[in-house]
Amino acid sequence: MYDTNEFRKGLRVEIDGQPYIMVEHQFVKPGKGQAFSRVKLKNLLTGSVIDRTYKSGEKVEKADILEKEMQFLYSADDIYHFMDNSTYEQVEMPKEQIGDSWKWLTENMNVDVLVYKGQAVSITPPNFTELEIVHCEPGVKGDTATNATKPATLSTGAEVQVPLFVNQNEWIKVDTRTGTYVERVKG
Amino acid sequence: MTTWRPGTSLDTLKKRARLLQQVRDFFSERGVLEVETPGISHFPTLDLHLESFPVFHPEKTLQGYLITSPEYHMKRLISAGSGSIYQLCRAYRCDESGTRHNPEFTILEWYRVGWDQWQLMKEIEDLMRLLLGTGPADYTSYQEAFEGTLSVDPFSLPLERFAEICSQHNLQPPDYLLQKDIDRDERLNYLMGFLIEPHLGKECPVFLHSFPASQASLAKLDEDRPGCAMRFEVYFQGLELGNGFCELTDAEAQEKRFREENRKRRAAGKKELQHDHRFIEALKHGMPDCSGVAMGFDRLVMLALGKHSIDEVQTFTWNRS
Repeated sequence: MYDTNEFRKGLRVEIDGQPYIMVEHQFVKPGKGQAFSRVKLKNLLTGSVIDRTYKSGEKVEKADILEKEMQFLYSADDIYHFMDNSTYEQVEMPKEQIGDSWKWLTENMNVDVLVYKGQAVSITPPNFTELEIVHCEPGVKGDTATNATKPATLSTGAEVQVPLFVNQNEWIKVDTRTGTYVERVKG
Repeated sequence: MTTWRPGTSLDTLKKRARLLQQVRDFFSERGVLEVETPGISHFPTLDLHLESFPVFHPEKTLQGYLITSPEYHMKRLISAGSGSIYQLCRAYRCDESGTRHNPEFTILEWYRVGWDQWQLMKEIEDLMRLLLGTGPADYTSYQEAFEGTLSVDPFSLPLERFAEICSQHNLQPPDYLLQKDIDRDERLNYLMGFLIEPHLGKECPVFLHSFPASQASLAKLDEDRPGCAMRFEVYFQGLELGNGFCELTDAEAQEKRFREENRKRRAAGKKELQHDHRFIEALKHGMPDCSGVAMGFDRLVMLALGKHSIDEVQTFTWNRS
């Protein structure tokens, strides 16, 4: 159990059978009254954010949650297979739990996997990754001034907007948190 | 993280020192005497929602408590004939830590002998003008604040209405506040902290006065406003800066309030505590009519310098100390 005194950003707690991460914490004490902790919590399974207030001294359950580094092996029939880098144990997750992260997964990539009560529940790919463009309209030479973009399909099947000067078969760096093009890299 | 470093910049240190000097000059010019009183007292605070740090001898015998405010000692000085006095000192409160709180903080507390609470509020306005450059303050009663902000009369707050207000504002109160037998003041405090305080004093300082008699603390009851106490709080930019009273001088009434506070402590499952009998003796001897206020000096510094965290204006807050 965590006492309100231990509340801080990043704490993982369990409320009504759901795991949450604390994203905001505020100590509030009106005048000569009771002190409270006001927190914003993000559900680690659904991503939804809730607001709660606790009386100082109240206790909240710790979430049985672990963060593990795993390697992405392959996907087949919308099932994604990973290997735990420390135990070599294999874990599989259905596509729904992978969310948008499928767009950036390449074989042997290391990802952070949240394991809740022994079950892998979500993954976080590295913040940046480099991928090859397998299809896009031909580049417009010298056009680096405008902010115009065009769609490009990457080797993983993901589509991102890229500047006009970028060509098919070139490699680009992508920010996986926002899904946006960062720069052109040498393949 | 490097933890040896202070939270304050050198610039803040210098400005804080200047503000301390301004406070001292302000009172010196007005003939208010600076005093020093003990940091360790034989008696703890009885306040239901405050906890004193106990002080132990190395062989584990309890010696006393760190003060949560210098109030009792200063009132004993006034009873001994000191006249108007002020003090800048450290106060200590268990478990209070956040962007606006630190377990150890600086209090600016002063008493004006022969003054009523309204005269004192004017003087606070003057001090705030000096330190913060603020203009004339607004005055609003506790009841007006609740009616204006939440359209509810604090003197009759039904449980259903409380629950409704919370859900309207997307607030999920802890379960105990939704129990029938809980003190109405507990619900009022909750609404005050989350829904009223943050909006107080956006433009200019605000004096919130005429608190319910049930929250009188050490203030006299107001004969002209039945059900109200001559207690006020001062706010600026959503920050509570101080709490003041037209001071209760009646020893018997004071003892009764101590007993009542202990009753509340018992009901809340807390330990009953021994009250300061020397303070009661001082009142029995006779304390002149006076008004007093305690202000959070660190918060004044925060506002004066535009800082958002107490950690930026205290050299070493708890996590760094």
